[in-house]
Formats: sequence, C-alpha cells, structure tokens
Amino acid sequence: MNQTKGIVESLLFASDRPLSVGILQTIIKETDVRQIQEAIESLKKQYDQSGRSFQILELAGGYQICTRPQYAPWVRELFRCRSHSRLSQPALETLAIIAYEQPIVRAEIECLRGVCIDGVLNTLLEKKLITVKGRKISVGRPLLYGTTDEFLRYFGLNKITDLPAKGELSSLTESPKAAEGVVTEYEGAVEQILGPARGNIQTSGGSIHPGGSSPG
Amino acid sequence: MTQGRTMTVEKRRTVTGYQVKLPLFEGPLDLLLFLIHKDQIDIYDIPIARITAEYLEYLKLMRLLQLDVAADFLVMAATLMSLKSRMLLPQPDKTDDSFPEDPRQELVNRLLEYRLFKTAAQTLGEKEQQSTLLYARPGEPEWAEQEAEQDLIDVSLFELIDAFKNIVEKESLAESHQVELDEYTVKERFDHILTILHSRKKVPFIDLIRSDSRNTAMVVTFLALLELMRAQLVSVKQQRAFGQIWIYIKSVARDYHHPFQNSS
Repeated sequence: MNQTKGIVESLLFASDRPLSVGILQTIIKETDVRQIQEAIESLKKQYDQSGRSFQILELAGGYQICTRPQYAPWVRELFRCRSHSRLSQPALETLAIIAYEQPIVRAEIECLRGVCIDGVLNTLLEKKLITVKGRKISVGRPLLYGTTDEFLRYFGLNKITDLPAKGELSSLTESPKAAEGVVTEYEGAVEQILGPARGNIQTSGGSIHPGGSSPG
Repeated sequence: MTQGRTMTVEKRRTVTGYQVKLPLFEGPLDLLLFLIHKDQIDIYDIPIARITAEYLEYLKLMRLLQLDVAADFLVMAATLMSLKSRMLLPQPDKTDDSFPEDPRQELVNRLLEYRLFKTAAQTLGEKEQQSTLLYARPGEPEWAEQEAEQDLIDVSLFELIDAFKNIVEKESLAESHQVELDEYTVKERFDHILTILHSRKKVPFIDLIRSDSRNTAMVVTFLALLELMRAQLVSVKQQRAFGQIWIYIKSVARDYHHPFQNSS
C-alpha cells in the first residue's frame, strides 16, 4: 500500500464525519486531488474485492467508512443505548418540502402541508437537519429554511440532487392505493359512532359537477 | 405513503364501555386525499358535495371522540362548503374565454402538490430506513445532548456557594496541612477551566473544584468559575434540585482565547 493510500485510509478510519477531498488534501499537503481520488477508488475496490465488512461511501460531499448493511443487526446491538428514534411522518413531510423547495419560508411550507408546523420545524432545527439560510425580502422578512450537510448524511445522500427529481416523484404517485387496513378501520369507526345517520350522507353523495369539464 | 395514517386513536369510553379506533390524519389535505383514494375518485373530477359530506363526517367523529379538531381542519371545511355552493351556480358558456377556471382547480392543485410531497416524504423515509443500516464511527451525539440540556435548571449563586462549602469541608478534613507557595492565580485557573470545557463541553462542578484539592487551589478555582459566570462564558446547571451540578461552556466562549488580557 503506498503512502498516500495509507494516510487516506487512516484518516477515513479515524474520522467521525465524511471527509471531502479538499479536507484530505489540506492534511496530506504534498499530494494533489487526483492522487487522493485514486487512493480512495483503490481502497473502495480493495474493500469490495476482499469482501470487507465495511465500505467507503460518498456522503454529504465527502467520504466515510461505514459498515455494510448486512452487519447492521449486530452493530445495532452494540449501539443499542444510543439508537435514536426515526423521524415522524409530519417531520418527513416537512423535510421533503424543504428539500425540494429550499430556500422556503414557514408560511409556504404550512400552505403546502395544510397544517401548522411550529413544533416540527423546531425538532428539525434541533436535529440540525435544516438551518436558517437567510431572510426573504418580503413583508416581515421571514426566515428562509434549507437543508444541511447533516440532512444529506442522515439520509445517506452525497448531494441534494441525489433525491429523485419531482418528475420521477409524480410517476411514483400515479397509482396510489389507500391501505386496506386504514379504510376498514375508518369505516368501522364511522359505522360504530354515527350508525344510522350514515344513510343520509350516502344519499346526498351523488356527484354534482358541471358536465364533464375536467380541469388539469 | 400510508405510514402516517396507520396511527390510530383508541378512545376508551368509561361510561358506555366501548372502544373506537379512528385513523389520524396529518392535516386536512391528508384526510381529503384519503377520502379520494378510499372511494377511488378521480382527483381531477372531485364530486365536491360527496367529499364535503364525508369530510364533515370525519370532523363529527373527531368531535364525538372528544378529540381536538385543529383549526386547519375547520378552514378546509369552510373552503369545501364554499366550493360546494359555487358548484351549484349555473355555469356560463364554456366557449367564452373569460370563463373562469373550474372552482375546484385550486384545491386540485394543492392536493396534487401535497400528494407529490407525500411521495417525497415516503422516499425520504425509505432512505432513512436504508441509512440506519449503515454505521460509521459515532461522533458526539450533539443533538441528543442539546435536547437534554433544555431540561436543566439554572443553579443559583447561593446553591453554588453552598455546594462549594460542602466540598471544601469534606476535602479539608482529609487533607494534611502544608504550607504552600501561592502558585495559583485566578487567571491561570480561568484559562484552565476554559481549556477543559473546550474539549469536554461540560464538566461536573465537584470534579472541577476537586481537580486540585489543596485549599488555595479550590478557592482560586471557585473564584475563576465565578469570573467565567460573570463574563457569561459558562452556565451552571443541574437536572433537578440538589442534583449534580454541571458547568457548561456557552457557545460564545468557543472562540474566546484571551481572558484577562490586562488584569489578573
């Protein structure tokens, strides 16, 4: 193993955060960017070919050594005490909107989600998944929010464009299906509570719309 | 996509003794999307009267179960009813260019956009799931620490002096008396505490004072700590009354390198 490769490997091994080629280069002064990239590629190949239990991943614009997913059950046992809870559905929805529409102000997020998001924003700020990117030049100069490097790292992304484009998303939504369980649950609740009153609503259920104009 | 909806509320009614499970929705748009999918309605051609009825029915359920109906849900109810009444008005000739667009258009756009972000959220959720299988060398769980810090209560000066007195009393009993040269200055201890806090962010009060348990050292350390508090560089907190006292470095102090430039 040549010198540069060894240094790169030791740095990646010791670091608790992704290291960019730039950071690596400021540490290993006498090498150029190309040599560092070659060293990383060579290490990657070496780990893959020899079937190591860890790999080098590109996260948040840098490189980091991570264990391979198939060993997660055991590593999880090791870190059991520090495992943190997954994000809630409102948190994920809010994050998704910020990720795609950033920089964005709170009122716009609330309009898109149709609900007030005070608590969720604070949680995301605390977790450093989003940050204040500035102020919008408009009435009240509201704060603009955007995602952070921690966001990329948390979701295993290298750059924000690694997320599916909006066009791809809409093709994913083409065949939405309400979960059967929820529908049953919902109808069960309606039946149980509203009971006889339900009939009236169904009779008024005919669609009233002007002949065939189909917007969109 | 349905992850959020699978949460349910179980409301126990002690009087009547029955249980009802009601799916919870993230907001009015989430509820509307659910109703649309449930009845397999074409999102571009929503039967407003029928959807409004179902929507109001859900609100009624929430109220019957004594759940708080968020204002957001009521705003949407008003929007739906206004739409419903507008749909009943006779439609002008469609060939006329000045014909305003379908009154439902705005709602449909919001629903489509919301649905898009719901899918995006689902994608993020999957990525989160995948990424929890990858372990890297753990750094300091910075945000976990921050959350815990918020629950801490401030320690008053008197409590601190009291705590100091306790430590000194215990320590000086055990110590043999020796005459020492005064080699400590507040300035030196001030720097020393800051150095410790720079690397550890927080340190128990008792450890700090006892780091050098000679009487003079403890007093000087304590004075230095008071200086740091006065300079707003550290905060002194504890989890509960009479609990362990912790010294935390404040973020402004992270770049603070030259204390006591002209004094001691």
